[in-house]
Amino acid sequence: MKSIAIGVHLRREDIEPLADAVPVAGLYLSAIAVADDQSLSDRDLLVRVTSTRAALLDRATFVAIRYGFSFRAGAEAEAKCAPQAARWKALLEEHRHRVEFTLKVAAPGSARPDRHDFKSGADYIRALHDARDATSIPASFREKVESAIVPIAVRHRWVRRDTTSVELAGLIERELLPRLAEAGESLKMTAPDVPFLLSAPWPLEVFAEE
Amino acid sequence: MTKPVIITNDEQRLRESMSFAEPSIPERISADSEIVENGLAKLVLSIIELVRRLLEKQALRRMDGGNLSEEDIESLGRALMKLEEKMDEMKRTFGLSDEDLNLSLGPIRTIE
Repeated sequence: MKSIAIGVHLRREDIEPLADAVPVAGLYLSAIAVADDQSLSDRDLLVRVTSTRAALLDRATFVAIRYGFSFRAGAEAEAKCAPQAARWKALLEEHRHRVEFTLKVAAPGSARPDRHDFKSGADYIRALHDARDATSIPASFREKVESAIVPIAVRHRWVRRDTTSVELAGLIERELLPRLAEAGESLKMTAPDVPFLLSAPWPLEVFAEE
Repeated sequence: MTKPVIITNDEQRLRESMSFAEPSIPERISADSEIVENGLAKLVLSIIELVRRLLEKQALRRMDGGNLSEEDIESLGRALMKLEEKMDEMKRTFGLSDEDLNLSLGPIRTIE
């Protein structure tokens, strides 16, 4: 058997009996056991991990582990998690009653650099990087978001992952999720022309990155 | 259980804008021997292009980390240039364009 990691939690009781709790450097890793020959791309496994993840998040906030980390022994998981443990512990203590939300907004996109204009690989990748960072959304939409959603968040960060969208990631008190939903509905009415998707709750991911 | 918040104002446009659009993958591959090769090439190249873009995205994320050496950055950039060059070669070989692979970056973009 092998275990698929789901997240890192502050307390054992945040995990059991929904998933296995594996002690790692003073914290607990939630995991589910699967057969050695089970493919990580198996649809049923993905559904099982997703529903367990949601049930765990309903209990308490945790640091998300990107899907795909599997291990056979606790020592293997410990070795992987130990370097981050102190930072994760501080984050979990600070944000125990908070969850992440994300507002993904379709962007008009920026011009893609033409590789023929470059002789150096470094210059080309920097140009791609700059093009991605130049991706923006309409200022009027951003203002609406800044006034309707950002004030509810404890922290927020605009994130650019590609040239097709811009994302607002935020941390919010769990009890304010209904207010977030109201703000989203209001944005839907006042900004019908810019496609967006507001979703929550999510475990710590963007705000767990260094 | 906490009620999830999922709010969108235009799911279809958002899906078209951000996902790998379905029209780029034919529902059926024609059995006509003259066009079967082109249909398969279109399918395979669409998937290769998706993977290429994922690799590019990952490379830019690594740049964000700020811990790549100048040599690493040059090497990553060269690899991306080479990948694009190979894709162009294959598109030419099979007579396919970005539009065929549904990769055009118009107002409503169709990949990623």
